[in-house]
Amino acid sequence: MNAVAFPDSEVVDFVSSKLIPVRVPADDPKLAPRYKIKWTPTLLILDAEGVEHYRSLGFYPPKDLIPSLLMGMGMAKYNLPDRPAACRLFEQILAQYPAASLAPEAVYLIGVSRYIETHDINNLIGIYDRLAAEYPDSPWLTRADPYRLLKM
Amino acid sequence: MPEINWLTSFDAGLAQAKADDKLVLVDFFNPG
Repeated sequence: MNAVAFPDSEVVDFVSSKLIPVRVPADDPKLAPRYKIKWTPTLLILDAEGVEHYRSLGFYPPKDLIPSLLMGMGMAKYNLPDRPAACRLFEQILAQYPAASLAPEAVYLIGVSRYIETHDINNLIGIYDRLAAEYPDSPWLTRADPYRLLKM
Repeated sequence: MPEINWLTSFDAGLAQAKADDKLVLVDFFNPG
């Protein structure tokens, strides 16, 4: 990962200001089994208790790494659960990195988070509509397809 | 060249996260 994304100044600023960065060798005898590390690079987003909230595997270019970190931060909020805060982080992906590979997943999670909070099915329908309009080639549109039927 | 100041102690990272109310980013790297 170091050779691709971490030297990028935007990534350095983001990680330094938003997260506590820790580097661990993948053969660490205690932590590798605990987190089931089988390949590198593996990036984890953990809370202060060491609970895993998000995992990414493989190399990310800078334009996708920050969205991935935002997704992990959002999932930590989603799991708390603090879904309004989660939505703000997912929305940040869409506002700042709309072409990121994780953007369609952010659309999905925003709709799900809002539905859980409100029980308003328009949030689920909105997932389908937004994905169909903005990310029609995404596999996340397929995952949202049943919500299309809620319009009927 | 900008750099991230990585901690190398996992436990210190968790303690810092608790103190700063932040999440931890752990990079499991290939030591070889």
